[in-house]
Amino acid sequence: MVTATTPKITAKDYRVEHANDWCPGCGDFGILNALQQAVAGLGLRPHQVAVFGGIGCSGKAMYYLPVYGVHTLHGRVLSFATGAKLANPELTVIAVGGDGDGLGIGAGHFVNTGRRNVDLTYILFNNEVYGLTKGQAAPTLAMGLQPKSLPEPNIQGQINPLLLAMAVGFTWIGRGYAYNVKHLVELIQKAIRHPGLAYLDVLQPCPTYNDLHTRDWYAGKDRGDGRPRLYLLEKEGYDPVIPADADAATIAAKTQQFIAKAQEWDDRIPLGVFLENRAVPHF
Amino acid sequence: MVTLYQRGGPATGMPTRTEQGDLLFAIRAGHSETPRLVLASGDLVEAFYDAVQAFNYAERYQTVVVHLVDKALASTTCTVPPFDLEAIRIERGELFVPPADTDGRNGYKRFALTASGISPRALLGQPGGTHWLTGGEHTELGRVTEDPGVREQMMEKRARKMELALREIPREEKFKVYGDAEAPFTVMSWGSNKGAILEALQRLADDGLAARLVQVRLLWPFPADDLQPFLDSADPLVVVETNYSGQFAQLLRAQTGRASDYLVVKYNGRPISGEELYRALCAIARGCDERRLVLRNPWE
Ligand code: SF4
Repeated sequence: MVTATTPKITAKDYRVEHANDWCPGCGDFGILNALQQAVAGLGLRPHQVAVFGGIGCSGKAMYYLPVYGVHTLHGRVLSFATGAKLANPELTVIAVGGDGDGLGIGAGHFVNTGRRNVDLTYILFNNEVYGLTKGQAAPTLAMGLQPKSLPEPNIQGQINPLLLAMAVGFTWIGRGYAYNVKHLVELIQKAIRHPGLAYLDVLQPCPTYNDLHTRDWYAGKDRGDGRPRLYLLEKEGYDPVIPADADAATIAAKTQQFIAKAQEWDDRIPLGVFLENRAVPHF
Repeated sequence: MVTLYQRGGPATGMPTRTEQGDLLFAIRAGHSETPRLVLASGDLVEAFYDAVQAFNYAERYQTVVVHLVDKALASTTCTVPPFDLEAIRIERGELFVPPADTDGRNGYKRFALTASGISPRALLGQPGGTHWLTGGEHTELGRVTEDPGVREQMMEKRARKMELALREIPREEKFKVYGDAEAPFTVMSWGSNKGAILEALQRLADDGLAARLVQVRLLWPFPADDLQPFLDSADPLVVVETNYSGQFAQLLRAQTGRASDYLVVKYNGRPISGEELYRALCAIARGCDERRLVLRNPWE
């Protein structure tokens, strides 16, 4: 029982002594760290949290948390998470997985989960490659790019997960960066507090296989003027909220604004809350 | 709990026609040797209560339960007595009761090695019960492992659950006997053939031929020991199935060593009728030469 005398929970309470097989420098560590701080910061105790992992490097995150941790089937993480939330609405349910898991094999589940505004948070570790299986092209890798495992440039087009999430009905959509832990903690907490289905895309450098979109690339070190590529939406006055009583014109304008921001890439890459739609009833 | 509604294959096959082609699939589907229970209902009343029981068994044995029905059964409409909802019990199986003062992880072993093979289960969200669940082979704590010793222990633990199920599940849920229970003329079958067989048996009885139906309802784990007395006294042993290859007859032989004397099959997508089965059983009673009789619908 959580009582007045229960000691305050800290990120330390969310650490687990367990061998971790992520590569040194992997963005996954930043996301795990942010997740631990986010749930602790919300005052949640480990038994109040269930984390569902997909298959891939990212899906193992649940093994490093002392919560109810469920390693699910490839591409099915959202189905498990939905079931758990419906069975126990008191639980804080978080699904974690990679771009391959969620947008390749799991694309059908991604799409149909969007149709049900269940109160859960989906954190997608977006590194554009299949890290666990040695760096093949994932569905988020743009056509023509050639990370080091590919023998030829990518011949397939990419999925923009933010646009897809909006098209299928996710009511909270954000993007974080694995090495900006402080900002990521805030985003995860906002996503959890959102009373509906939240999609949080996290740009996650994979130092082992993605030699294109590295920490240095995001920092803009390859550019002459050294301008960082990442910027925060909230610093530019972007307002993601569709109010509960929004009229059709407001919804249309917000949608336009969202689409424009979700397509920014390369030169300037926005981080932050892209959409917070309060006009859709939740489960 | 999986409801497996069988219809004709391959692939789309005959989507609106019946077949009992998935018995061996239900028992073996999936890689490795994953324990599961397979139940088959003979009519709509059974299907109702079996669905409840399938959920109960899934929780009691903490494993997959496949409820086998078929197109013929699923598309049947009939009048039945009101279901006895008072008699229904929802079982949750063995649940973990945490020490009162715990919070977070306290060494709870979700997959504790127990004599029965069943480990008390914590429900997601319960204080003191946090654990890991994984599709990987795991330790008692739910940690993924490839340790050979742990693998043996976990394989044996899962196998014990199936032995327990065979011991605990009452005989009348494993199979039911209809007609003249002492008669040597034995029809053995499963699933929705039940109705046609009972009709044919009644007509044989009217003709003065005593016969019995052994309707097997628990297909896996296979109740070989309980069936043995019926196999010993069966003469002839006639297996009736809505498939081509006699999957139940194969299973019976594999599990008991007893082959059917006659196999009556039908695989044209239509359910077996009492009339055609009656004629086939009359031929068998006369000692026909054919050992495999195929029921057809020449008029369609
Ligand atoms: S392969 Fe890439 S994503 Fe996977 S652990 Fe290594 S660095 Fe991280």
